[in-house]
Amino acid sequence: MFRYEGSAIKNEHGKILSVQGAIDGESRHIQCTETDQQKPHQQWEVVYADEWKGEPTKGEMNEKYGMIVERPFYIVSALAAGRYLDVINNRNMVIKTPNGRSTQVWYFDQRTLTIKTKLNNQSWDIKSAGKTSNL
Amino acid sequence: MTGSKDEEGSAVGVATATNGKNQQWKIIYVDESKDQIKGLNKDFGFHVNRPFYMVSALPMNRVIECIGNSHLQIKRWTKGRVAQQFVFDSKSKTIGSHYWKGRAIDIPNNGKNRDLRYTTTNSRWW
Repeated sequence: MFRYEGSAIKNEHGKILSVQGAIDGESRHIQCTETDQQKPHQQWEVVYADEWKGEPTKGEMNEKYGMIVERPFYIVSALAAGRYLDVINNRNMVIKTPNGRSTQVWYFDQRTLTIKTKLNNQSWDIKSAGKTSNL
Repeated sequence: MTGSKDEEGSAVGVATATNGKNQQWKIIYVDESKDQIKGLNKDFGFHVNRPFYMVSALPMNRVIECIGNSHLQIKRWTKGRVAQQFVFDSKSKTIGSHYWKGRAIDIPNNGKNRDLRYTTTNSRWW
């Protein structure tokens, strides 16, 4: 028997529902741990099915991420020349003068929750597993 | 009640009468019992008999899904997939699968395992 307390689902002995390994991956097992670290992998929101809005579809705003799903956009630098974010060599991100090419067009992908390029539908990524400053 | 402890699973036995609270009982006839059939159960924090999703706070906001007939995993939400919905039962005080009726979340091996499963409802505290 479990109770929903705050954002935790726990039983009388303090064991709480957790995602195995704290990894946000598809098909990760649900475990019961004794230490409530109050971290995201141990936190849950109970959403009743009759109030569930589902995920935003194409053309709808994803409120959490602040972008409209699959609606192409440019990303414009606030520097004086107002250059657009662009891709060169198929993967390196730079700023360039607007040129009408698909390398400067981006969209928000709801399935992966990432920003993708219209050039080849690849997503933004931080090199070296997030350890560098290069995109 | 052995030991006078008001704890789930405490043993019940016989002893010399002392008229203590641990020896007093009330009989409620089934046809007169009043189980909550809807609304919020304030003790457990769930609405009764109202299907819900358990949404992870991790970035992808995956939901818990019943896999096969016993495993629980996080999965992307899928429209209409009832295996991702759960129901709180006020009689057993358990979280049951909305898809696999009569099964509830359980900690296997008498509460010693880490991986949760859902199995035939037994309402035991581990």
